[in-house]
Amino acid sequence: MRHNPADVYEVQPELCAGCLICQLRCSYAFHHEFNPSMARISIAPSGGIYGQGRMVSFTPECTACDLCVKHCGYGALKFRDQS
Amino acid sequence: MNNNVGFAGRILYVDLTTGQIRKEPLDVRTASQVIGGWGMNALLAYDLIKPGVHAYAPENPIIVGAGVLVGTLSPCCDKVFATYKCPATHVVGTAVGGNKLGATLKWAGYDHVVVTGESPTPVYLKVVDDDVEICDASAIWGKNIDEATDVLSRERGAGAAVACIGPAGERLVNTAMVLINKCSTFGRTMGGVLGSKKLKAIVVEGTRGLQVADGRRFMKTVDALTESHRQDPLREQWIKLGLYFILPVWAKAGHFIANDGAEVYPENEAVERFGPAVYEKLKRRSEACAACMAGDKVVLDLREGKFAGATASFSCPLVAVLAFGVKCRLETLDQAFACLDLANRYGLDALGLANMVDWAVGLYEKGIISIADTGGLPLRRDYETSVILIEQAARNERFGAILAAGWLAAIRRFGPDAERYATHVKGGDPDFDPRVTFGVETLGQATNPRGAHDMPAGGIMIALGRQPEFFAKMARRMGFPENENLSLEPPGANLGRYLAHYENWCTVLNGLGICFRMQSSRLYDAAACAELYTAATGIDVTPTQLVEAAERAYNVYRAVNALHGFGRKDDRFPEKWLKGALRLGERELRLTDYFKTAPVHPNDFERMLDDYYDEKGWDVATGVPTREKLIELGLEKIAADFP
Ligand code: SF4
Ligand code: SF4
Ligand code: SF4
Repeated sequence: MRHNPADVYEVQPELCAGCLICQLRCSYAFHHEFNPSMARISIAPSGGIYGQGRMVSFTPECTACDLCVKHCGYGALKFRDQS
Repeated sequence: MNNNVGFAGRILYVDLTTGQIRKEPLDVRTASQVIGGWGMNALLAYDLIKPGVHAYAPENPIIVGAGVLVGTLSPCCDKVFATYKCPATHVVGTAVGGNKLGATLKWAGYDHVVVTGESPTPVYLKVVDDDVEICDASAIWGKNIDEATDVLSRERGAGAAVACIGPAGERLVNTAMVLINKCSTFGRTMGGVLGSKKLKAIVVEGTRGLQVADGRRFMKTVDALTESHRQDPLREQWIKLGLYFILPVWAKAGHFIANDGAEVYPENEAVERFGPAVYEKLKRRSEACAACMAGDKVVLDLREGKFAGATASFSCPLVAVLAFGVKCRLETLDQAFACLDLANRYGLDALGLANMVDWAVGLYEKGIISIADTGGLPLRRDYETSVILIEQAARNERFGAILAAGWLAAIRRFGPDAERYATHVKGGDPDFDPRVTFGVETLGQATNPRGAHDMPAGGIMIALGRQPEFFAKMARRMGFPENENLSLEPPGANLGRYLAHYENWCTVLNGLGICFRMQSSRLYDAAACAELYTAATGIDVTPTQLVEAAERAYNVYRAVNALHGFGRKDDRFPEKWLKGALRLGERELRLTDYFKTAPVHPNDFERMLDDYYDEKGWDVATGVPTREKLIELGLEKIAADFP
């Protein structure tokens, strides 16, 4: 059953370093290529301007497979406390 | 969908004079002979950068290339290179940048971009997959890098990388530079070359993506390296502070050189004024290059200067301390960040400028130059003077312009008395003083064709007190040949020979696009590099073959510079390093071997160079690759140009 990523993941965009590892993991897992434009998570500069932080969001295709969350090393993507 | 693997498979040629745009297939076989990436840049430079060409001539190309593994998930692998004739030093140098310019290029379907010619009006180059366009830049010409990048990134949207120059580059300041996404420095002297072409920026966005030949095999090594980074006991520190966490260690070791190379900056002052505790209060968050797990670029709050209240993004905040903080004797970290930020916005090489300010103040104090030379500006090491000189340099006017023209031009102007005090190699700015620690990185500042510039692949001999066993272990990791001549066992530590091979290892990292910074490069060894290369490109290489390809690439780089007149005569140390003393508290540091067993005299230095050229298989008298060596490496076409 497909989960809603917003229900299971906590996103802290202010911590996003823009490494794009989440996007590369996702596009590789589902399309066998390294291609951020195919990822089911979007990492965009806030207001299109560098230095002002980023907007992090999941696309409707996201299956909440956890892969990107496990690989975010900067604390921007975390599992919600399920307790 | 892109049909190539590992390599994107194309080179983009842009002529700004005619407006012609060509996309040509990359000859992967040729590229792989020199690994690709950095090595392929050198091969292109050999053909395209003609001896005698002026740096600002339309024919001087800018050759941009991404490392072979860039664009993949190989950890901390996002380096992009630019090769061009440098205006300040006249060498053919290759500069390094990061922050997604290389990755977006690969995802757009290009390994290299070669820009030649000169546009009659300001333009920027837009590359979005197959859509390549020379666009009008008149609305952003004159804007600083911060403003111009905002305009361009707003136009292009989320995934674009923007490499941009500021007013300094537009005004042909020799030490102007390019910033990628406002943050990653790209070419300490490349800004003016873009300026001479009226090229304000290169904007790249890629959606074609990149495939590898054997994904399962590739990801197995990626996962192992990822895990090894996770297990790094220093990982928390890297994420929290990046390279900045090394500040107290370097301050203690003596790497903060002050007072025009005469003394070491006091350790306690460095830590109190500029240390991690002060830094943490200003840091907002980390910034990372693509696929980097140890992102040490930073966004922070400015509290001083013209842009107080704004945020700044720095590639290496430690540079603010090494440059302005220490050299210009600033009072606070806020002042140092304000100076670095100002230099960045104008697109000036901060480190070079601060070094030259330090030197000029020394000359002024010694009476070698006077207030008549400085245009009425009393020279001091302080914040106000630093800001004035940055502003003058960015406008390419008054005394600041003389300094920002670079070492060679300034020395010509101030004469031989001034030259005696100058700290440069081939016009390039050293990062480390060998009197503190004399290792491969510091000796390499003499032999680097680009001029003094460190290649600290893990900073192996920048740290003090390591034992010979460590260097033996590192030699194996770096794929050195088994050879007792390479021992770093004292006495008789064979630094010149060790360096000859160390440069090949640095070239492996460059070819693949792996970051030099110690938290990144320490993840890799020659075996992992060969495995990733094979899995990504489908070209089977052993670690030994990969290192051989690196040697071939480095020979091409050296050969290009030999054609441009450089050789052993230019592989020099500044006189003060060979003969002078550096004060560290009560002590005097003089040039000594790494293990601090014996002094190194000028003739010992020459012997090290003899060993180095001999190990390279180059002519010992001239320091130039021999025809025999080039043929041995399979570089017959280039060999024909050499005796
Ligand atoms: S992995 Fe984390 S830090 Fe990196 S881009 Fe994705 S959300 Fe941001
Ligand atoms: S949770 Fe899975 S599907 Fe969703 S964005 Fe992350 S990697 Fe892609
Ligand atoms: S360590 Fe710093 S410079 Fe190196 S790849 Fe990571 S963010 Fe870029």
